[in-house]
Amino acid sequence: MKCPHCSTTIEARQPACHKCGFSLAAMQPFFGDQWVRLERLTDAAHCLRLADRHKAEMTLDDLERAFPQVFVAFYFGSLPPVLNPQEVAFWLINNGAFSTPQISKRNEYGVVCVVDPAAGTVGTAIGYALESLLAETAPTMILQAMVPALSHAEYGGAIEAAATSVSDLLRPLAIARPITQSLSPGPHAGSSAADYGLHPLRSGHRQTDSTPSPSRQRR
Amino acid sequence: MASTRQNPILLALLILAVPMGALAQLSEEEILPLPQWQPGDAPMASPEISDMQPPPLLGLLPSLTPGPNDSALSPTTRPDTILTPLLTQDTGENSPAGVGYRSANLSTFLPESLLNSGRPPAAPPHTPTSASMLKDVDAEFLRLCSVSPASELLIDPLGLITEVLQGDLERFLNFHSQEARFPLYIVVLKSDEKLPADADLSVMASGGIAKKPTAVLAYPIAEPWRARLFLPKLAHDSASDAFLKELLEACVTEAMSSPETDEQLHRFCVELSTRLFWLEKLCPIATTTEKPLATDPHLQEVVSEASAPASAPASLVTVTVPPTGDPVLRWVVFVLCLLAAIGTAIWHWMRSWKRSKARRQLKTAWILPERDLPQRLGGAFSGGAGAWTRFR
Ligand SMILES: [Zn+2]
Repeated sequence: MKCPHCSTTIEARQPACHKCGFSLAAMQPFFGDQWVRLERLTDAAHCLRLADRHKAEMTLDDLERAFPQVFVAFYFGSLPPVLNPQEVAFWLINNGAFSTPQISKRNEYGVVCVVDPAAGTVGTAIGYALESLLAETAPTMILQAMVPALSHAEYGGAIEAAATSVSDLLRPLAIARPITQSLSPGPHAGSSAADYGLHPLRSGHRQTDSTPSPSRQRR
Repeated sequence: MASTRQNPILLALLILAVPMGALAQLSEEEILPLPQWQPGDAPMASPEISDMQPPPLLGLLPSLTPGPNDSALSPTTRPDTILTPLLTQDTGENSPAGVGYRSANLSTFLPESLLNSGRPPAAPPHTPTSASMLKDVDAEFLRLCSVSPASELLIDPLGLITEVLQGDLERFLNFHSQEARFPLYIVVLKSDEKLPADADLSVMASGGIAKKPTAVLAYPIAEPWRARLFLPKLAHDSASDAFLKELLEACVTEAMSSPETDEQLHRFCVELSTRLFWLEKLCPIATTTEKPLATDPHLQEVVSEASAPASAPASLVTVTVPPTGDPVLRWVVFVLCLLAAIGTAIWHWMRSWKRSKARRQLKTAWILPERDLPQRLGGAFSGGAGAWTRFR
């Protein structure tokens, strides 16, 4: 695995890049350490047409239905000049609370794509779970699928291409199970996740994280 | 007193003079013998009367009596024929001589047209030509047809129709050609002639028939039921057999409603023109690829066995030229249809396969195995695995 900033090889459990010192904490001067709430599609650059957005939402719905553990999120916006889109994607996947239909999805199964239409750059970051399953070249393949559409400023097409690429990459690694009918709550069931003592945001589920920051709890 | 004495003398002279004058007249008649009319002498008067010369005053008018060079006159218009019915109407009850003179004088002094007014010449009923008597038009006729200008839609090299009808038809055919998609050529044949089986219509009208899609009508005078209609293949194939059969029958029926041969042709053409307009509506829209139609592969005869009356020996069962291109065309169309059907079937199969695949995928959840990786770079959910690139 390479450093997102300087491409130096990073070993497991390495807290920061030996060469450039890159880490999540190094991003705090730009974004802080607060959690941010993000939609699956965040268009800060206002480059998505309404039709593209609707179609992309349906595509992402299908993907999340087919892969119940996985989500793919997109951020379109202008980035700080000193940051590349992979670094921003790295920060987002670790500090974002993504609004997906299934709130139970964990960020380890997420793919975050960041596009800077003005700079003409695109980057991606994947969670630990997907990293453990996919080849190291998988993120590059996802970007390669997006580039043709992006080069024509077809951002909706880029979303479609990314979703298709992720599906194609993951399907051989997955086990197919028929989708069962959705469960209906019984008479003694609670009306929300909070009734069961569950947190709606993706936080606190990673037991290996020895010091979960309370500030990551958005609510 | 003297006058009273002379009066008896004059009266006596007058009384004597009357029988004397009668005696003198009687003696003069005996001296100058006049023809004595007998009951059987009436027909003999006709030649003498017809030989009478018109008065000098009538010399300014057209001669009403046939001269030695008037052989071209139709028998029905010859004065002797006009006189004959009048003379034959006379019986012995009337004075044959008086009636004969009166009629002869009328025919001599009145213009012919007045004598004929209200009494059209009675054409003898046409006897259909038997099949054995039909003969092909000669080579000279075909040659004259071939050198006829392309602009002349009425081809009557023998001058079989009257000048009046010829003018009417030419105007009518020109009008038809301006309004219709297919101009109509009419070839007028003698009543006992027919086109040879190997006649090449494409060379007629100086090749005008071959230059563009045209309809050709070969019309034997006085025998409309033997008329042969040739249509462009496009028009022929666009209409059903029943439509073409009715077309021909309607034209023949319309023509046969008149006993006049000229009127028959005129009615035939008017009805045919109307039906050709109807036929055009059945034809597909012309494209720029529509080629000029030569006779052989493109002109097809309309065939209708029922259009010929029972007395007409010749029917229109012969198809002049078999369309040689048809089998190939049918095969091409068949293969194209087959390919289209196969393509459509494949397209439907692929679409249904994709849909079923999508449905299958919608009913399938792909579950990934769970593995944990140790944290890197301080990331709780991602250790920075990813990539970035420029797309511009
Ligand atoms: Zn580095």
